[in-house]
Amino acid sequence: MNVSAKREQSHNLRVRADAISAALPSLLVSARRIAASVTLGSHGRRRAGVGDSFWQFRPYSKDDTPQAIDWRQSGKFDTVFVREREWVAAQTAVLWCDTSPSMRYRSSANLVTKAERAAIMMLAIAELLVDGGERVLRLDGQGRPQRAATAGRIAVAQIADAVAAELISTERPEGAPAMPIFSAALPRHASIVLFSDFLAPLEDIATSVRALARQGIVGHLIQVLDPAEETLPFSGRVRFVGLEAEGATVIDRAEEARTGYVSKLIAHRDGLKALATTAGWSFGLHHTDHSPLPAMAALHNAVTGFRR
Amino acid sequence: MLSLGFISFATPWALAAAAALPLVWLLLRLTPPSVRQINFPAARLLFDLAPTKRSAAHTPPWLMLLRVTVLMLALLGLADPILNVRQSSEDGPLIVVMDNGWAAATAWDDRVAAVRALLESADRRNQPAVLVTTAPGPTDAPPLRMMPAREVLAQVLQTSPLPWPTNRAAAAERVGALKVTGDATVTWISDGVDDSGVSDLAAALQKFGKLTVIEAGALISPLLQHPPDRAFGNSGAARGNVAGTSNGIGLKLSRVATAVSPEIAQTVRAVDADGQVLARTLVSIAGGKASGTATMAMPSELANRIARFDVEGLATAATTILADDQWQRRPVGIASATAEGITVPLLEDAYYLGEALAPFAELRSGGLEELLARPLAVLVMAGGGKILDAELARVSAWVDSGGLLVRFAGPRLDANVDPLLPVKLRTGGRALGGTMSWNVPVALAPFPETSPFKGMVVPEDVTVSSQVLAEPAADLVGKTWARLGDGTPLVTAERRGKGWVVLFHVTATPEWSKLPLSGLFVDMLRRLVDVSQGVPADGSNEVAGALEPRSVLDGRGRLGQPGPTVLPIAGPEFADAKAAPTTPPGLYGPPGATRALNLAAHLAELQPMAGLPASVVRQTFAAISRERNFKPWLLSAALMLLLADLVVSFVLRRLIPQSLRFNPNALSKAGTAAVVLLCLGTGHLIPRAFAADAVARQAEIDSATRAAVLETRLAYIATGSVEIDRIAASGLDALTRILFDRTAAELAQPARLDLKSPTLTADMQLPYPIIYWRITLTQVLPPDRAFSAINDYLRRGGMVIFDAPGQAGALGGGVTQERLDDILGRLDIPQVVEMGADHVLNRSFYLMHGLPGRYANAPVMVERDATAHDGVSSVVISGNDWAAAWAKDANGVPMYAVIPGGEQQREMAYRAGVNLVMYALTGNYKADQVHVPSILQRLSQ
Repeated sequence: MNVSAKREQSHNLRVRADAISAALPSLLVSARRIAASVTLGSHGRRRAGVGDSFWQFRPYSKDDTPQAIDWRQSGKFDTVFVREREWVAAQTAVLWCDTSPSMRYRSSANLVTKAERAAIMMLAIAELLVDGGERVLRLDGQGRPQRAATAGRIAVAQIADAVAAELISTERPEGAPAMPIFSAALPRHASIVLFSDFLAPLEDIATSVRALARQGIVGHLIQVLDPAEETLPFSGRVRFVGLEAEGATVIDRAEEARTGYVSKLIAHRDGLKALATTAGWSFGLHHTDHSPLPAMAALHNAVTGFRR
Repeated sequence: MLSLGFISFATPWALAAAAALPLVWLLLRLTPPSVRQINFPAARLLFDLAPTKRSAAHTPPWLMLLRVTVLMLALLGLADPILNVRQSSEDGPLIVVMDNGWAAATAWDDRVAAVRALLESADRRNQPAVLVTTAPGPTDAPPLRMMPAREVLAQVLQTSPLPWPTNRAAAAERVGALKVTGDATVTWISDGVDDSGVSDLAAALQKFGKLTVIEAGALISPLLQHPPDRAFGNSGAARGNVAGTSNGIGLKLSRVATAVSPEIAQTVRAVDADGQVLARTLVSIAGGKASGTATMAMPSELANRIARFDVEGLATAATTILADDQWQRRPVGIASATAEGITVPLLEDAYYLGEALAPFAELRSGGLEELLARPLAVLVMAGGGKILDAELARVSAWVDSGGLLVRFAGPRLDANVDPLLPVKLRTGGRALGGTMSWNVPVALAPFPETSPFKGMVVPEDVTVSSQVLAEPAADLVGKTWARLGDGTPLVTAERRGKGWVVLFHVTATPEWSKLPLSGLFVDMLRRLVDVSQGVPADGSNEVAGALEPRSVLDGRGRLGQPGPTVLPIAGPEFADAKAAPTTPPGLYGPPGATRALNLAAHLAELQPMAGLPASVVRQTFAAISRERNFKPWLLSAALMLLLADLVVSFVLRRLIPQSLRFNPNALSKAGTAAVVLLCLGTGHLIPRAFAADAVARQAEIDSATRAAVLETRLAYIATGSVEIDRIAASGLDALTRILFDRTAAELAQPARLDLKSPTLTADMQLPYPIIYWRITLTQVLPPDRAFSAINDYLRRGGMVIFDAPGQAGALGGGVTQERLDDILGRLDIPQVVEMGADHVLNRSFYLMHGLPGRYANAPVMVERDATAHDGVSSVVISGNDWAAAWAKDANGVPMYAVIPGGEQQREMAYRAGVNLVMYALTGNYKADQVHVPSILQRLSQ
């Protein structure tokens, strides 16, 4: 690679970085808007431990340090009391959003792409989790952890940065599978949220889900679909080309193929639901022509519900 | 030619191509539609779907149908389908006889269409044809000969209905000379009006073959309008007492009546010369009847404006009646009492009368003799003069036979000056509201019920300050048509025979009353003209000479310029003239004495066509339907459908760009832009056009005139001699300087007027208060135009100083009396006298004894009786050579010595000049000073 080519690449990177930073605020803002409208539940462990909120008073035992004595409470009675706080343990939530070419699809200029909607939903849930004191860990497009799990606002900003970069990039590693395997070791007892259209073959998805379940991770599948994928609103003689090099097919009368397609889509989704149920996971569906709020509310309930 | 019922195909072999249609059908079906490519994420789900039926992916059936229809239409069009092909004898020539007289103008288009249908069909069969028209042309028609039908078709299109009757006998003669081979088809398009030649023509035509006569049928008959009958006011006594009289005009329409003729109603319009419709009246003809009448009511002012009557929606020569000068008759004569002397606008009676009468009456002016030579409805005598005994008998006879004599009072209308007065007058008039009088001018009382002026509103500001008074009499009240607030009569009238004598007790000028300045005066005169009997069109004023054609009617009732073939009609023969090729209906004669030749005036009663042999086939126009070729229609329809197919194909293949589909925003934007552009465009142009107009108008006033208007200055007339002009120029220049030094008259540089200038008018002279004309023996005689301009200038209040030194040795040669007479004789100069010692000229600035110039002894002549312009003489004629006395050279040294001599005389000459200019500028106010000494003397006593 000669010097001028290098300079050109560096220039391209900078241009792209600008595009990322330009895309960032809008991603974050819309994610925060969604997060703010979903009410936050309690995150306590419901037992004594390290935490901020008061849990109970108990009589002093010799193992306790003198600093632990609550003198105000002890003054009221003859016994000496110790103030115990509720144990708050931060949990790691693992997030993954599919940014493959098939996710870049939208059927009309009035809609957002599926990847964009999935990224926004992912950032929104990240925001919610961080607000609840949890740590978040993002997996990149190939299912590898982005970095160590982090907490706080900075984590959301980092995730937004990385997702935006992935959304803009048009590069795609050769021979990438339709669904990543998620082979990397993840924190124990973490929960995972997967955003994708899940249009890959059912077996590939099953492989990935099983790999995660084997680690004892509880997960949620959020299927993000374009309305056109739901209804196949085409007619006439059409050549359908897949976006991930899976090939093409010519349908003479697209309007007549609609019924067959819809029933196949429903069968595929039923397979996904069955897969989730088997692994003890949940399954959610979202369309890009709908508001993300209902799906977010359902997702939030699912993510926080198991702790209660 | 292939015939299928009423449709025939001229090129039937084209239909054979229709056999290929099923093949086209198949080909269209086999062509698969184009494939659209769509990127789709869920393509995998579509991979192993059961394949849909391929046969379903063909062109929609309605599109197939559309395309096959296009082909079918194209094939049918190429096969030349023709509707209504005439099934007649295939060979033999075609003879078409066409009536094109006045009666054929009705339904003319139907006639032409019928002839065209016949000829087009003959043209298709290559039959020879001939067209015979029955109305004679202005020139002899060429002999008939057979020619190709196409050429005859061109003839038909040039044929038009002619405004005179047909001459079928002559047509029969022409037809007789025709050479025809074979058995001909003979068709006669008849107008249905009988004449003597019908049987001749039918017989002549039947020699060639079977004769078919085609008529308009009983439903459409030619219509004839008879000259309307204007009911002139005959019972003057009754009408004299009825205000707001109106005239009834009798209208009559007639037609060719048969037993089955339906009832028809047509609107007859009265139209004025500008084409404005004055009145409409419905005239109906009952079923089976030949004519119908109606009365058109209209006020006489309108009736006088009628130029023609026509039938609405039926413009033919027969339904158009021209009204001539005989018709518009309420001629009013204004007798000018002062045939001599200078006429001054705004100050003479005739001016006020003319302005008041012109809107509704035909005016004539002149002496009594001249006026009564032609029929007259109203004679107005202003100025209060006496009718001379020689003329009295004539005027009396005219009044007795129905004339209306209107007289106005005046200083000279003394008591019982002649018998043609309605009341006895008292000697001496009566003045109200003078300087020495206590009483004020009197207003008018409301008009009596018996007066023709009844109901008119009396304005308060019309007052009378002088009048002549009637001798009280028993019948005075009955004779009074208008009176003043104090009961004295203002207008009196008396019936004399069939006519009236009416007297206004005031003048027709504003001297005695404000009546002539008011609108009431116009209305009163209008009522008086209405009262008059009018002049019946009895042909009593025939013009002896030939009446040249002015404009002639064509067959469709349009007036146009007469062609070269139209001949004049001798005046005495006009009453018997008939509409003919050389004398078509129209207007003949000079302006003011125009006579109308109307077609209907000499036509016999209309009769249905009789005398046709029984073997003749009679048909109506409906039987001849035109052949119609559908080729162009079918081919255009195919083309339109093809375009529609193109659009449909584009839509089906989604080849129409997104932006074209539907964008109301873009449409409205484009519309707004277009409107704004339009506004900008027009807005830009209009002010520029106005500006150009304004500039052009400004340029019309020449610079010299503008300068003269802006600054008062003296003027001299260029004599053509440089020497003399220099005297005049420097003389006036020096005088202007003297005036500047000594008086308030600060004048600008004197101007030079060239009498030979082609654009010289009085308007250009009018800004100058004085024009100085130094006449010498060598004076070139100016053109007549210059004289009339100077006359005009004098009449409007200008002043000319004629300085004509006749002394021997005068500068430029002493002018002789003959030469002076020659020049002044061409001018309208009033009677002059030698200036008296107490003339205003002698005291208008300096007190002078005579007005000396270079010479001191020549007499100064001024107007004898200068009453016209505020008592200022319009001319000053002298031989004192003032300009030579005034003239100074560049150094201020006098150029010419004065005779007999002394600077005293020169000073006097300047003073004379100052007096002349002040006289012209200020008028006669110094004249009052003449009486000052006596007034002072009286006051001191």
